[in-house]
Amino acid sequence: MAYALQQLINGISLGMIYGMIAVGYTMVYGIIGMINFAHGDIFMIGAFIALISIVMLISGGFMEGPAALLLVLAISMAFTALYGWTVERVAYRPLRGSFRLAPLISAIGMSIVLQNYVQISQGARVKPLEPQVTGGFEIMRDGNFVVQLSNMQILIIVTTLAVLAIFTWLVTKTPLGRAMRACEQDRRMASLLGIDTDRTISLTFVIGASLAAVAGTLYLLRYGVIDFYIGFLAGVKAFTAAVLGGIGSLPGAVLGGLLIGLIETFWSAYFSVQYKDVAAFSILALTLIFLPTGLLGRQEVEKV
Amino acid sequence: MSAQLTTPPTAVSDPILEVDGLTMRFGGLLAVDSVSFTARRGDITALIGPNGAGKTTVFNCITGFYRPTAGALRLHRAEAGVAELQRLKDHRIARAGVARTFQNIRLFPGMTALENLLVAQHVVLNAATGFGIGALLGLGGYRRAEAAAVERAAAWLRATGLIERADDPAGALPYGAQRRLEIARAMCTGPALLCLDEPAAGLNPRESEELAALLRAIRDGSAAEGAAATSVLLIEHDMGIVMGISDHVIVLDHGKKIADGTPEAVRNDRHVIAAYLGEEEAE
Repeated sequence: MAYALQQLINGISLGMIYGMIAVGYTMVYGIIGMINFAHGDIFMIGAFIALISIVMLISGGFMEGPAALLLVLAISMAFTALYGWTVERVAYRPLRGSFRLAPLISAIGMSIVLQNYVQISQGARVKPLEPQVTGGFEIMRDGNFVVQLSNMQILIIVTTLAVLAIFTWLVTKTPLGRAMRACEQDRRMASLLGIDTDRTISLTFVIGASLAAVAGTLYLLRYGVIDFYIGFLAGVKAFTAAVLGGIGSLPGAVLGGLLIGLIETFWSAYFSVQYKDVAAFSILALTLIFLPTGLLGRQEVEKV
Repeated sequence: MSAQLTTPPTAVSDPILEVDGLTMRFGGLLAVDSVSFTARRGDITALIGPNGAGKTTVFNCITGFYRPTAGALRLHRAEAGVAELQRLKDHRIARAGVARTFQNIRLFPGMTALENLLVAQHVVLNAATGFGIGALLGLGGYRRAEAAAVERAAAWLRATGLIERADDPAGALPYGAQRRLEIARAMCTGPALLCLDEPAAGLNPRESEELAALLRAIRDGSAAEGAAATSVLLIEHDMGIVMGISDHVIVLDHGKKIADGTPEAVRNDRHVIAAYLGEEEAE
């Protein structure tokens, strides 16, 4: 019982990170109908920028307290957003109106470019970081087993919920969000109403990238080791989460992320750690076969 | 800007739109063949002609859907000078003051009626909010702009009899209501010229009559509170509507202009009768 509770906590905090990345996939798919395979690597870039800024803050002696963490988060979001914007500008926008597979291939190319860029500029070795957020609460004790809710997990859950709340508000209530939804439904019509669709798409990438940066920063703080390759696995799992939740649906992406996180954690806890990725990806296959629109997939409104 | 005004081919006192030698070629097909006409400010101008005459192609060139092969499209705006529409990107055309509706309705079906009208005011709202940053911070300017936008949308929902359906998804509205909502959405962009592609298609006689009244009110600026008088350019097959509300009718056939004048003049024009009823075979 206690063991299961601990796994639940671990699963949720992992799932939140997947969910944040999945939102980026789902948004881009929603607006231009393309899977941005470089999104996982944008997440990796976010983790690296966070690492670099933490190291700089430590060497300057400023890395203390929540304010410093917030600063790291802001720096990572800003620079990663710049990467997201650039990727869209150089690799996808020129291909708009081209055949469907072109941007997909371009995205895979972009993913390889980003990985190699980081590998060359930062080195291929794993980068460690000593824990920055320590401590936690003891929730219950069952014999020798202690159920822990660490401060890091609280940080992940609170940050994710706060960021997603702000983001949901942005999409549902602001002019920018309305423009994004309008572009999703009929891009040409949106532009006939005076909406600059290119800029709206750019902003979608910027928002997706800054969410990935939050996920990358939290991942770095939680696991303390990153390398140039983390984006691939995290990216594919987040993609699985997006498909499971229903690609194009924002709440679906978060739900899918949570489920993937929980499945992976419980599988590792009760069956075998080696096969945890197999479990996660079997879900992708099963979803595609039996539930192609996902759990919260959007129903298409029939055009009259 | 306005100093570069070239002399129009047909001298009309106060033009809103000047179409000058418009040609549109698709591969070997000449869909529109150097058509020129002028729509006057404050008029309802109708563009009619048999199927395949090139009416919708002309519309698509005006609204930036197609880039014309040759010719010029000049929008004369009251305060902002002349805009050469054929050189503008489509979102710039909308900002220059041209709004349109479609033969097959193109609302955002998953958004509510109100949201559809708010999207149409995006340009104003976005500028007022500093590209969403003001909205994020909840600044006063944004709240005022948003309130004004909702007020304007509500005025148009009242004008089109849709105020009770404001929060329904646009895709769930009945057909006639969707047509009216599309017109309301076009009007919410605050256009100088409203282009309507077969607005009466699929409407029953009562709805057609209401539509005619609405279009007259739009022309006169009395359709909704705070609405400005708006020139209208209209493609329509329903001759009852065309003859009833138009101030000026232009007839196209096989991509060429064959008549241009008042409804009475056009109705009795020999070429027009031939185009609609077939060439001199009967009688």
